[in-house]
Amino acid sequence: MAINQQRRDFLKAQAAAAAMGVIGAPGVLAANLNTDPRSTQVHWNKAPCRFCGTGCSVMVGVQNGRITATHGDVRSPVNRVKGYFLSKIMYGEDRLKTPLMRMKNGVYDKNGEFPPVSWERAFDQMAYQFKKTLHEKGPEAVGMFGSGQWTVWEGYAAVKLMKAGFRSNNIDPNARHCMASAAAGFIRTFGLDEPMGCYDDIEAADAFVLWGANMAEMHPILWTRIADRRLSFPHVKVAVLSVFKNRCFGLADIPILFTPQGDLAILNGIANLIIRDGAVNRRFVRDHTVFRRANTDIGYGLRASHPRQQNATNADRAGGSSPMTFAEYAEFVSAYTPRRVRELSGISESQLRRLADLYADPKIKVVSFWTMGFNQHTRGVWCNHLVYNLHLLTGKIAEPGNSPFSLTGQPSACGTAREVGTFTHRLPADLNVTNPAHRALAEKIWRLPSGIVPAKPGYHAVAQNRALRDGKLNAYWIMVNNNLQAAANLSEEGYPGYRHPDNFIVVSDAYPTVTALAADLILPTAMWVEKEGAYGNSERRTQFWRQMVTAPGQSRSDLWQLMEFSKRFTAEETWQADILANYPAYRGKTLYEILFMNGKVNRFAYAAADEYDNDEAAAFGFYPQKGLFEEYAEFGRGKGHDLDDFDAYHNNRGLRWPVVDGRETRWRYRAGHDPYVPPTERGVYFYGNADGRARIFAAPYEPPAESPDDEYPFWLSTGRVLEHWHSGSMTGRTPELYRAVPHALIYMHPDDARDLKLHRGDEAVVESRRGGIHARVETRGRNQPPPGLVFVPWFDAARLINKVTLDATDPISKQTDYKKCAVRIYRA
Amino acid sequence: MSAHITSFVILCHPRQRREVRDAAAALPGVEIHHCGEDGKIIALAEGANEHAIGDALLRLQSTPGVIAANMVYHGIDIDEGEQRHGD
Repeated sequence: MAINQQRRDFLKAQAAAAAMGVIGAPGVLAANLNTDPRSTQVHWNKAPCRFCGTGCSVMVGVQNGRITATHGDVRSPVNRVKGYFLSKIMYGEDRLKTPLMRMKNGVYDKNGEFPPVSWERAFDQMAYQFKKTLHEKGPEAVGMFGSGQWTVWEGYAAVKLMKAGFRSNNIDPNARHCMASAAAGFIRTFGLDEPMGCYDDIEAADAFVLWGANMAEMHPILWTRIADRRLSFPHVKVAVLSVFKNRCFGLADIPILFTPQGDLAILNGIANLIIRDGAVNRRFVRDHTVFRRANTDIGYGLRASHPRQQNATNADRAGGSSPMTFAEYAEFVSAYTPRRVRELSGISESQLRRLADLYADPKIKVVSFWTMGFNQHTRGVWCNHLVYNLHLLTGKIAEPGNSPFSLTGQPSACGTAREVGTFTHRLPADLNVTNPAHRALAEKIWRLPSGIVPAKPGYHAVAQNRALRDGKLNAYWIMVNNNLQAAANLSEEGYPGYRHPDNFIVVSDAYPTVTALAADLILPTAMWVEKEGAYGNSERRTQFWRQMVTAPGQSRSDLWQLMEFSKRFTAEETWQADILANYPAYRGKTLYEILFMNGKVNRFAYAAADEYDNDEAAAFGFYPQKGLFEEYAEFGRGKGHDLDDFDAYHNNRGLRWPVVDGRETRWRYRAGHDPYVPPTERGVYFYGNADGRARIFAAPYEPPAESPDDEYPFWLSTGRVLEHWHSGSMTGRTPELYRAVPHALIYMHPDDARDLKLHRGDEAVVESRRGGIHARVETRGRNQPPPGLVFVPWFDAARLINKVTLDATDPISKQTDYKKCAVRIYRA
Repeated sequence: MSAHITSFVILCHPRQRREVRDAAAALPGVEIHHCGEDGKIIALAEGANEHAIGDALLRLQSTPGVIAANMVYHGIDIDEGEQRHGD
């Protein structure tokens, strides 16, 4: 007992020291707490946190091959970490340990049970199905759905396998549901993706405006930094905008509840006041911007047969725009008077005024944060434009404290989905498949025949589900995500698509998710520190970690799965005869040899074997993570996306790209910070666009795809709660998290509940034109909707709210609007 | 018996720090390590399993005056007999 007590006291001292380090308390050294390993037998190493897009660095403690401790990394600049039972995500009792395939009488059967099979047997059937589809229907009938939780090299290997190996652009990530609108907004405005600022903006800002971002729950570590800034400096203001009251309102100086879709009017209303007040930074606008009028009436990204699509004038030209002058722009926003804004959004004239003053006052440095409220929006790209407009009109951009800042929800939505380009239309480093020069560069870097990468974008996420449903997409591989649960309108699109008799669905996951259980083949997957990895966070920071423990059973990483599977295809089976006629050297080679034994990916030996295992290096005989990373980095070096040398990231706490001569960039486009700003320029230079200017887009208020009516009188908004990260496939199995919020609830206003004769805790039905679910009514707690709106989280696999949601998308970004549809509610 | 040892950083309105501190200290298994005038409080929590600690964290987060409560450290002191059995 004495030894136990001593050990526990020691752990408590460590726990206290870690916390003191985080708050910067005096007397604590800025060093980590590895202390004497003999006293604990714990081996410590760094890794980025597995949850959310903040990218906090954590220290992970391993004892006897198992993770027993995690704590915030005191040496990291992103360190105020939730050690939110990180280790537990790996040790759920239902962790998958062997491939499982639907079979009857010993053979594959779409309606069979799920007995365990060997990897050999699993890949045999999978290769047979992919080859059959390629042979019968061609590359447009195979597809892959990936993730912002893929490591950088996993996403990169997947892009190569799909776009070059199978010659199919039908690859898209779940990040499509998360930040496609943000990515499109960046590229259309600045010519380059991802934020110009970084988290250091928080400590330099005088005001924060949260536009549809419940940071207190979704980005708790950044929220803590905002709160710290607010409480330490009394002049600092926090404005919180949301369609229901959430925990952020506790710190809000300017709390604003608005009607769904009203954000478009509020943003234009602020621009109008800035112009009316004479608060435009005329010099900045003259030197650094041009104005564009966006096409309007662009539809809702629904199926072409939907009446709302057929009635839309510019459904086929959603991304189009035409030039306009500042005077025309001023005239355009002048329609958004405070009175009209009030009518469209429900916010008062004084609320609009207080909000506008934060942007208009040149002495106030302002950071705008947004996530799903803007991005999951049928006009999400417009919302992104309209907030950039405020920062561009006032010149409050790309300098410490003045920052429009798009946050991401997943740990590598930026690093993998966006930077590697795992979208159907993209290639690494913001290149695009529709551009012949970009395809040629990819083919050159990959050492492939000219013309291999297809020019036409394939199915994006929502189109994939529709194509599965229509039997046009037949061999389909899903990795690191739970898309059957996550995608909207699952009863009409997702589920019938997965179960279509012509389709073969493969799911690689660590747990038997809703998606896995609807598949035909389940592959058990190594996760997080069970493999060597790299993530890129919301502030352009690339972070690496080592393999620290061994994955259970026969689990293998996504990287191993992608590379090993590629061995089963030859060029003859996947490439057209005329390509091979022109490039006979590729005849008889496997995709593995072509894509991964190309003299680049396989050029490094794994040298750190004594200290850290690397299961992939052991399997393939070279260091695939390093080879893939260095090949990938060729795309961006010298082009504004520079990454440092592979080995450097193992020794640092991450660097924000562009990294030139070992130095990171905290503020892009700003002279003195960004090495890409030409020496002749002073101040700001938006070099992503050929003319060096950012675009100010005029875009109007347009109504949502579906609004409440007599039959379906409530707004439904969906989202997350802190305890359940995304679909809950990981956190749902961590008992303490599961217990904290065991089931999804219907959060509603007490008056609405009373009118419906419902009490707190009653079972009720939430039903739309597409489907319904049962859940219990909650009228108290942290999420407090106004009358007329209900909020239901989407993590609960037993209460699939996406049976109810509508698969309306932003027509430009193709991102689904999960925040607005019409429902009715009645007692179950 | 294994034990779970954790630390939390709590951020609250400085004027409410004493109430928050007392509310936190009243939670089972929770002790206060530090309570700063700037509204930053460090609490340590020990529990036999994650349930107790998860509950404590959620209760801290919904305590009036608390702006943010985040777990910084989580360690499991695994009893050696149990570990052999578990593995």
